[in-house]
Order: sequence, then C-alpha cells, then structure tokens
Amino acid sequence: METLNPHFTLRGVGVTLNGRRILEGIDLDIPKGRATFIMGRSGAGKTTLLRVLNRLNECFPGSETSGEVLLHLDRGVVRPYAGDIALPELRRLVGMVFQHPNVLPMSIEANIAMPLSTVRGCGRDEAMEVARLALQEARLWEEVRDRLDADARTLSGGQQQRLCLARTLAMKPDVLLLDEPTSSLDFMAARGIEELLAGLKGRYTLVVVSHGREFSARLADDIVILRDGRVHGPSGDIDADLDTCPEGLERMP
Amino acid sequence: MRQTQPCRQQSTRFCRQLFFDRAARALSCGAGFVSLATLAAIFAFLALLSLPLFTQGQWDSVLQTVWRPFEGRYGIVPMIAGSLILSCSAFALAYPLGMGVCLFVLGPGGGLLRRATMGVVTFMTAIPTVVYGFVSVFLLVPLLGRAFGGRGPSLLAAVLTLALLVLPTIVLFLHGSMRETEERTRLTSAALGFTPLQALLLVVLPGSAAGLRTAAVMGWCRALSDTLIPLMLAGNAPQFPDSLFDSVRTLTAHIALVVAMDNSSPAFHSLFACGLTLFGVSLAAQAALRPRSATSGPMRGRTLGLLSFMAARPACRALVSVWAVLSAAAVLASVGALLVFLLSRSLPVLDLRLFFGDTPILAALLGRQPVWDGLFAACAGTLALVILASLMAIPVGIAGGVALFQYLRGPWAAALRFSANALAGVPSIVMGLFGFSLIILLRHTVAHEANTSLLLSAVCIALLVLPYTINATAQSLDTLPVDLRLLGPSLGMTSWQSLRRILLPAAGRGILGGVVLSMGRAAEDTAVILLTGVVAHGGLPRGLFDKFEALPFTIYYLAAQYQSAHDLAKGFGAALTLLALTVLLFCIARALQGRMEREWKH
Repeated sequence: METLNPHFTLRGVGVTLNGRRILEGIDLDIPKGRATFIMGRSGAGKTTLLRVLNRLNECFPGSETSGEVLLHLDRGVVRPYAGDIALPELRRLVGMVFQHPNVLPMSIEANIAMPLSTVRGCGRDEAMEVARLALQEARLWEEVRDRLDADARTLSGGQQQRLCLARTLAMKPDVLLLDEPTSSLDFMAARGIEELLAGLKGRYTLVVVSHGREFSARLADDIVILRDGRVHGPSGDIDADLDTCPEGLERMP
Repeated sequence: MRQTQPCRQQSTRFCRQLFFDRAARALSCGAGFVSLATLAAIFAFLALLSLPLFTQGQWDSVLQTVWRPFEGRYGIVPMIAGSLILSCSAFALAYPLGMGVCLFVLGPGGGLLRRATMGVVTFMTAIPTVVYGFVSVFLLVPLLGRAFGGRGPSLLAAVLTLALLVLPTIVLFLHGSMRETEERTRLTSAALGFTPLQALLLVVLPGSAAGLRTAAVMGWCRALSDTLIPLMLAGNAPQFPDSLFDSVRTLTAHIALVVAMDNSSPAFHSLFACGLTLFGVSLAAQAALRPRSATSGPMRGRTLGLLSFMAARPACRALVSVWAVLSAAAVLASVGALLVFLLSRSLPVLDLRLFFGDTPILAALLGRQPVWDGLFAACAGTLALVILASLMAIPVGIAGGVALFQYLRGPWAAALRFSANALAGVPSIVMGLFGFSLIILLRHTVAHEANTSLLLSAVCIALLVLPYTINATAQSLDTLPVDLRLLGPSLGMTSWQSLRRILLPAAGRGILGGVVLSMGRAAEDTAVILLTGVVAHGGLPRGLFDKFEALPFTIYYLAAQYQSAHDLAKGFGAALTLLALTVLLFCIARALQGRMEREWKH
C-alpha cells in the first residue's frame, strides 16, 4: 500500500451528545485528493463523524468533542479544535452538502451569491462570475442560465442538490463533505449526482457518508466502516471492506 | 492544492465579522435580560412600597375583614375572598365547558362544523376584554335582571362573562395537547377496537395529563388576573357575597378603584400588598408549570377508573356526547349573541360624526382643530400608544428571542425562558401598578414633576407584550429545519451572519405574526393605561409627557358613565372600532403564521 498524504488525521476522537457517547476512539487518516466513504448502519455515528471535520457538531448544545484532529494545509498543519484556524475559515475550506437539498427561499443566483458576498465580501459582478463558474462545475449552468432570477424552490430535487453543491463549490473549498447526497433523490437524479461526483474526484478531497453499497463501490477510493461508534478499515481493499459491511445496506443509492 | 483568492483583505474582514458577531451576541443577550430585570423590578417596587405596612406595624390592619378607609379600616380580606370566589366559580364553569368543546372538536367525523367551532374559539382570543365587558353590561345584565329580578351588576354576571373570556385559553391549551396525543395514538386505539369516543376517554385524556394541568392553571390564572370584567360587572362592593346576586370586589378591581388616593395612608400601601399578592400567585403558578421530568406524571388511578367506568357504559358515553355538543352549542351561541348584539346596536349609529363630531374632517386629521365630541382623539391615542409600545417592544423582544434561540444555553436560557413566561403571566393591573409606583419613586427622588403620561403607558404596555414577542421569535426560529440552521455555519458564516442572512428571513413571517398579535394585545389592554395616564376627555396627546385618550378606556368609561343616547352610541361605535382593529391585526397575524408553517413543514 502506497503512502498517501493525509488531509485530515484523527487520533482518539470521541464525541458525546448530552453525555451519550456517539463516537469513541476514532483513529483515521483521510488522504488528500481521494474519495473516502463512511459506511455503517443508521445510528452508527456516520454524520457525526463527518461533522467532526468542520466542527459542525458544536452547533448542537450539549455536544462535546475530545481527542486530536489535524488538518494538513499547504501552509502547515493546523489543529482546528485548538483554535489554530478561525471557524469561518475552517468551514469555508471544508465545504459541506447535506442529505436533503436545502436551498434558500430566494433566487437561484442569490442562493450562491448571497453566501459569497456575506462570507467572502465579493462585490456583485465578482459574485456573479464565481457563481457562473460554480454552476458550470456543478453541471447546472445550461439548465438555469436563462432563469437565474427564478425561485430556487422551483427546481427539481436533483437540480436543487446540484445547486447546493454549486453553492459549496463557489466558496472554493479544499475538502467536500457529502452527507448521503443522493439518498433523497430519485434514481435518475441520483445517477446525475454520482457522475458529477466522479468528475470532482481527484480535484477535491471527498468525504462521503453513504448507505448505498453499489454507489460506494463505484466511487470510493477508501471505505471506512463505522460500527458501535468505532471505525474499522480502511484496509486498502474496497471489496474486502464492503464485505465486512453490516447487512441492511442493500438499498439502492 | 487549489489556490484560494480572497475577494478582499481576509484578515480585516474576519476582524469585522467577529466584532459584529460579538456585538450581536452582547446586544441580544442584554435585550433578553430586560425581561428578567423587569420581573425583578416589579417585585422590588411592590415590596418597597408595601414595606411601610410591615415596618410600621400596620399589617394587621390590612388583614381585616372591613374596608372603610374613612374610619381607618383597611382590610383587604374581602377582596382576596372576592378574587378567589369569582375566579374559582368562573373556572369551575369554563373548564368543563372547555373540555366539552374540546371533545366535540376532536370527536368522530372531523367535519366542517367541528373545524368552524375551533375557528370560533380561536377567534374569541381576538375579542378585547373590554368589549366582552361592554356587551355584558348592556345585554347580559338586563337579561339576568329580567330572569332573576336582580338590579344591575352582580357576581353572577361577572362569573358568566369571565367564564366566556377564559374559555379560549383553556380550549387552546387542552386542544393543543389532546390533538397531539390523539394523532400519536389514533392507529393503536383503532387497532384495539375502541370507538372514537372510547379512545378519547381511555387513551387521549389519560395521555394528555400534563396538558390538562397546564390548561387548568393557565385558565384559572387568566380568570384571577382579569381586571375589567369584575370592574364593569361585579358591582365592586367590598364585602363577602351572600349569594350569586350580591356585589363583590376583586383585588384587581380594588387596585384600579383605589389607586388615585392620597399616597401616604395605609390604604395606599395596602394596594401594593394587593399587587404583591397577585404577583406572587402568578409567579407560583408559573413555577408550578415548570417542565419537570421528560415524562410528566401519569393520571392518577381514581380519575382513570372513573374514565374507564364511563367509557364502558353506553349511557355514560351518550351523556358525554350530549355534554360535548351542548358545550359547543353554548359557546357558539354566546359568541354569536355577542357579535349580533354589538353589530345590531353599533352599525346603525356608525357615521363619521361619531368620530369627528362637528369638526371638519380634514382639519381634525391635520390637528388644526380640536375634536371635542367624537372618538377621533381616542383612536389617535390608541394608535400612538400601539406605535410607541411597538417601537420599544419589537426590537427588544426580537433580540431577546434571538438570544434565547441562539446564544443562551443552560441555566441562563432557563432563567430567561422562565422570566418571559412569568412576565406573560403578570396581571396587567400589576403592570399598571408598577408604572404608577415608578412615577411615585421618581417624584420622591429626582423628578418631582413626574406624572403619568403617554410615555409611561407605552413603556408599561411594551413590557406587557414583550414576552409575547420574545416567545414568538424563539418559537418561529425553533420550527426551522435543523439543516437550515446548519447551513450558514457550514458555509463559513458567523452565527450573526447566519441569523441575519438565513434564519431570520426564513422565520420572518412567523416572527411578524407574533409581533402583530402582540400589537393587538397592546391595543386592547385597559388595566395598564387605567393607572398610567389615560383620561376620558383630553383631546389629542400633545406630547410624550401628556395625558391621552384611548379606545378601550373610552369604552369602559362610557359603559358606566353614559348620560345620553349619543354617549351610548359613542360607546358602541368605540367597541366596534376596537373590535375591528384587533380582529384585523389577528387575521393578519394568522395569515402570516399560516404561510410560515406551510413553507417549512414538509
């Protein structure tokens, strides 16, 4: 097995929510530029593990994270939980797309431009340009270029999810966290997202929570299995890892 | 690795964002503690001003059964008894009635009539207290007189009206908790072979024990803390009543009647003892309602036994059904009679002269000529009061709600939540007494010229509606999906940016609905302004420190003091105008909240 540059290094990470232990003793390297899939039964703590990476668990009162997380940047190694990097900057660098497309009740364009101008202080023209590039990258541009002023909620589910992806891409992240990005979509829309993710692979470090065995087998470089709050793998052999998956993962992506 | 190109100087932006974030947190937490501070201040003022009773050894003179201030006898015991008798009788009537309405609404079928009944009950919350009182004076009191031969106001008239007034509070709390239980257990009950009525008696009622308790406490508190109904209908004689047709005086009415007295006698200090008593009871009720453990205590064995006894016998079930239908019919008939009477008496007399007298309308509107004989000054006063109070209550209330939702955790959040709820439970006459005592303290200390005024009324009204705005804001934000709350942070927004750009706009309609509802509350309240600067004939308010007229006070005043047919017509016109205003605000609020709910519920 070749040695890979890690993007994230987790050592002994544990998360408790109101005293209940969700994750325990997680040791994990997430390699740079690869697609790491987190799998496991529902309730195993997959989403919580994902949210460790951008410190989003802290949005829930009563949650506590212990252990050490290292983020490897070009300028060196930082420890997000020790305050080496400002929280907004961390979350901009580590973008996230949610399970259900959560577009804002505003126009398609504003969905991307508003966070851009708010977080990065872009002017209107600049935000427009960045939004166009992001929409192209998310393969949505051709479908919406004529109706950028339309309410984003008029888009189909698959389009909405691609818009959410574009919104995250527009922030110029290094890492993309994807929480079951296809599970709320129909088959065709899910395939569209899957192709899109295949195109993003290599350019971003992808960390994906997934239920779908087939979906994971097609896209993953590494597979991590979560069971009872602990990680198993990756062994380097995807098929072997998939075979250790608990049952109940046969649902289509 | 991709090179990120910051659009602007990243570091100064971070500093600015961080500053805004900190400032927003500090400001909203500060605003949240206004309600805590108000609660403490009310207690401190009332305690301070009733202190002479204790230091000068006069407290035994207060705990007497006779109130004759000119003979030096200041007993408030008859008033305490009056308050207890009136509130308990009204509650004893309203609670079974409310339960019947609830069983009717939740009963089998779920047809149009049931939904309409619930709509009418909700609509009842929009009718101002003073309008209930006004209509009772001219409709119920003569009716009772004809039926029982009584003359004028009586305990019975007050009990009946007060029961109608507190009914929507009881029904809304009951319905809220029972419907939730019903939806949760519907399939289980059906699978066990229960009829809908059996399910209500055996599953829903025992399963909503906490809700039943909340409805009882809130309903009783509402009856105890009301001022206007006893003031207008109960006769106000400081005595123990012998029968339902006797006259009684409640603590709340007592405060309203006596507050204008000279301010050094024991009578005066005994008022604050009355206020302190009411305040203590409302606080105790609030404390009793504190959520205990996750699962509140189940229903006791005996009650449960009675319910299963009733559910098992067809005759009892039929009785329950009849009772439910009768309660609903009684409530619908009462509200219908109230509205028909008010409309039939006020529409014929409604014209512009009623508002402007003989003054040219344009001149009156521009304030060039005073209006001596019309409702214009009262309308303008109410408008000024609502606007001033809203200007104070809305920003502070929204900021407080934001603090509750976003910034405060643990014991601080619990303290703020408790103080907001407790403040909402403070009787409005106590809030008025608080404003009045503020003026007394000011006079004795820095501002010897201080007097009750429009500004003082607005401040007190603002404090009265503040908890509604706080709770509406926090609740609207709470209904947003969790994903939406995480979206802002996941994009790198600070919590203030996320609130400002995502959460507040998304919850905007719900918050606005709560704000409009509290404006309706500000427009209808009478007890507060009664003690803080309203007058019957003052013309347009000339400034913040001037006395003013207001619609609810005009209605109250004319109901007791009318001297001509024209005065009576003015009274009915004012009642209709105030009702139209509160109903309009109520409808706007419902529409806004309904749209918010549809938008964010899947």
